Amino acid sequence: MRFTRMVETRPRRPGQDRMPVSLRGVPVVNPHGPSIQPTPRGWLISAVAGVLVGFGSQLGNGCTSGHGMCGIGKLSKRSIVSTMTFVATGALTVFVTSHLFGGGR
Amino acid sequence: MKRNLAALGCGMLFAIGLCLSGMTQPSKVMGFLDFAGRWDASLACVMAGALLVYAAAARWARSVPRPRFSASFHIPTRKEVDAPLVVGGAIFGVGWGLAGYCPGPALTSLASLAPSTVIFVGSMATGILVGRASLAAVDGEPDKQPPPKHADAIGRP
Repeated sequence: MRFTRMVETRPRRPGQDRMPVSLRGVPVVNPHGPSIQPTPRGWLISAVAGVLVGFGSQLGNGCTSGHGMCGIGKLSKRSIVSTMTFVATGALTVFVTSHLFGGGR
Repeated sequence: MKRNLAALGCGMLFAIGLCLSGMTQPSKVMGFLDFAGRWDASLACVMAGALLVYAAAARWARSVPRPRFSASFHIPTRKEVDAPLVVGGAIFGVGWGLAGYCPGPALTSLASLAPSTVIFVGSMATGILVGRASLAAVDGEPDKQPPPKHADAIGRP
């Protein structure tokens, strides 16, 4: 019961009432049903993003958990470089999709 | 059997942590990456908290001779920063920013059976297979990066 309430109230915190990117098809995990409607455009973006995430994590030998957590946790130079790279390109992608094109909701 | 149960327990703990921290909500992840907009710093706090726990656990792990359910710890040994690391990280970041999903939260969210999550995980599996195949084709040195390193995340001997 407490768990349900916690998940439910989180999206309503200040700053969370707004999608930073107009990817309406990409789901927000919510036990009470998706608040964003899935569309063919969203599915296409999900498919492209999935391939990039899968391929990139193989080529770069790690992901947010592997490099960002375990790698930085043991102060690996490779992991610090990788994490800085994917946070930078991730932020750039969000900037391009939300501020240059799309313009929010 | 015990080893599989331990893996199951760790996986469940990981999934609960990801859900409670908001890592499984793509909008929250993209809010963290939106430095030019209204930046949501809370995931940085998730990261910091996780690092604190990890550092303590890793310190303790170094003091024991071997894991309880395996012959040895499997710790990455490579040190050099090379092009595949940076290029792979850059490609990964673009996908992460597009969908707001990285592999762990995406797999966790598969339980929601939302169509775009299922599509994301399916295409992620495709990307992983293509990545491994192309790495094997380019490298030609299977002994340098043996596949068991990846397959053996739970530390089979």
